[in-house]
Amino acid sequence: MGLVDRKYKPTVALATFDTILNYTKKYSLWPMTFGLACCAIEMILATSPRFDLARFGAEVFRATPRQADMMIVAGTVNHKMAHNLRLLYDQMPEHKKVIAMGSCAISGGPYAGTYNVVQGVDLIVPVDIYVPGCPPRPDALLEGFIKLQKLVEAETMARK
Amino acid sequence: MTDQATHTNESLETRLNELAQKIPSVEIDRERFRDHLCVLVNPEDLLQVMETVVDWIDIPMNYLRCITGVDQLTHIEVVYILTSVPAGAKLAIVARCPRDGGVLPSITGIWETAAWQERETWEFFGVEFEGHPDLRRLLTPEEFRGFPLLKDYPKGGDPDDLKAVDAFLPDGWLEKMAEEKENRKKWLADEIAKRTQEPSEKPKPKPKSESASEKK
Amino acid sequence: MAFTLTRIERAIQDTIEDTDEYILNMGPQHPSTHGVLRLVLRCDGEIVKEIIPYFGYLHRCYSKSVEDLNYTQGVPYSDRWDYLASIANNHVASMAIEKLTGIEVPRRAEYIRVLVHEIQRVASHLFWFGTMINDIGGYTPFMWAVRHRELMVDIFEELSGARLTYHYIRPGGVMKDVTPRAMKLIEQLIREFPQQWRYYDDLIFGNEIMLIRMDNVGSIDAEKAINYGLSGPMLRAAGVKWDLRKNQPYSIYPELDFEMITREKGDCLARWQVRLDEIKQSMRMVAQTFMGLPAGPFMAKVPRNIKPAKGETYTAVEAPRGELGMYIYSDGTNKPWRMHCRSSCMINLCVLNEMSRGMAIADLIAILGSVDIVLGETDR
Repeated sequence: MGLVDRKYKPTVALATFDTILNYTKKYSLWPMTFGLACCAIEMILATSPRFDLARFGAEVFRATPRQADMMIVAGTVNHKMAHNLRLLYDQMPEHKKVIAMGSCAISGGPYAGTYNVVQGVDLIVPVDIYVPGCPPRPDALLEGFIKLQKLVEAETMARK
Repeated sequence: MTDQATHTNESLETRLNELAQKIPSVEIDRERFRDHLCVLVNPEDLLQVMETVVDWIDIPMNYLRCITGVDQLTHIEVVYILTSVPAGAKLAIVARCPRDGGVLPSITGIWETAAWQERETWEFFGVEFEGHPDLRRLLTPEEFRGFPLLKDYPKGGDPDDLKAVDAFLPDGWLEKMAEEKENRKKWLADEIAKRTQEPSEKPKPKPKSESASEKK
Repeated sequence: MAFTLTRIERAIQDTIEDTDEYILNMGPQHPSTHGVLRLVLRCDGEIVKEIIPYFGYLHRCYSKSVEDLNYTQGVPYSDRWDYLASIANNHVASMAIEKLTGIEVPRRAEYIRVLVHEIQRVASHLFWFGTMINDIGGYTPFMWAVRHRELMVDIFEELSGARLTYHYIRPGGVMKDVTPRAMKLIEQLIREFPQQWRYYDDLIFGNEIMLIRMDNVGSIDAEKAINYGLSGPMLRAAGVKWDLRKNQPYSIYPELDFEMITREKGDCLARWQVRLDEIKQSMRMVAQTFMGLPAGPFMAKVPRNIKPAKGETYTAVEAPRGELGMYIYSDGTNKPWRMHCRSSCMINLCVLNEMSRGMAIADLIAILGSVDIVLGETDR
């Protein structure tokens, strides 16, 4: 990717390359295991036989950020955990995506206004998709994932 | 009630009377707890009381279920819930200590489970446990210096603690929390004055915090 | 025959004997710590010498939040402690409030409470069993376990509308009566569960790898278990006959017919066997309560504004992970002065150092799995 990324002027000739490349990218987004709290259980159940995240190519959860394309922040983020979150986000290689899953990750959730909870994970990392719920059903996470795939489809390797 | 349960209750009553005779400063309170017998203890007698109850003959209180603290504004109470396994007798021991600089002896030597629960009580209430092998923060971040469950600690966090932990905060949070801290300090001073003047007055409900009133 | 080492062999021997201990961080983000738990290990090669657990990465300030809310508003927060056994959390919170106020729960509500609590116990133990085997290396049983757990989640979704944090048991009774569709699903569960259990029996329970990895690993004896304040399957696996449903019964447990499961050895295998046998006993209780559901109201007359008299209470239930207790101090107003959750997981965790000394790091994963912690309850 680094050889061709952002090197060329935006022309119509790149459109086919974009489509093919984005098709492969969107069906191989590997998440990083970042389940923190209750939403983590629903995230795990999204890979279970009933909801099956594997058909989107994303059932390979990597524990190390260096091999992951996206981070699903599932659960409440603390002031104690916040620095670890930022550290792990910084270690992920570029073109990374973040899904904020659950109301705790979106805005602090039921713990809004408390001394130890970060009021939304977008204070720490830039978020692409917000999936509301407490906890959101695995179906809701899948819908968020499909929206993320649409975001990936809209990317281009042309120079901005 | 079964025969076993009646027998256990009778044993408990006998032992408590013996304890009251041995250590005259303890007070047996039957009204406070809905389902436990409660013994009120001074900090200096606590270790002796604990060593006595764990050695009781037919109902040794060998199972320490819970240690928790309560901020009663004028003082802090530390509650110990004990049970005898497998006899089933239940007892609650309450130790009162002053709000600032209260010190209680640590009972980690008797029950190992007290280690972490005393750490938790210290980090939330500021009650020091003398003789504890490792008194440091358990649940809150290590950089915190305040004691969150005291009634004058703002719900959204003390600005000093949040600055120390380098928190990721929304705009204007620190100013709002500084204001809430002032309000709570004033309220606490008023309440303590009221309670020391008229001990029979019922405690008033707390003022609504800034964030709660803004939500409305 | 003389045995002498060559010069190179002697050099290698020297390095082997001259080893240092090192400190290894099993950080808060780790696939096998079942949540955000940080373990700092002091190891000599592969052998663990000491473990220092750090948690608090999920401390969500429960006790401080509920001081601003009234009693009914505080009960949904209890869902989020042990989020894999949410019914148990609601049960203890509601029981504590009822004890303070003297609300009498109708018989039908008590039966429904025990019914859902035992189904929750089965679901929780199934999830534990799946994740423990997943950590040890068997990936298939985890998928089976969550698939079979889905039927129970369907029952809860029919009853309460949610899949994980139900808020079904409320002070005074339960939220909603058992619907006909829920009755059908529960009947299906009771009918199908023994057949599903046979699959597990064939693949897992006699599996030699599982037995070798868990036998004699992480032992604790009865006296130490009581001194460390352990509860639940960890205590009973060490040989102590203490189950709150039998020794300090609450609700309608005295009317049900079930056994207390204990083992003697106190190692991982004993805890494994205790939890699996508990699943069978829980299914017996599910069948008994389902058949014997009395008629009547499902919720008592509870005042809109719950204002208990001044006083305090400590109430405990036998949650799937141990003794889950709730301490409430009421000052006579409609907001609690102090609410404290006695967490079974945090107190069970403090024995980890004692159990893991001298074990390999791989054994530590099995031990941590068998302690069965959920970080929401450890940190509250």
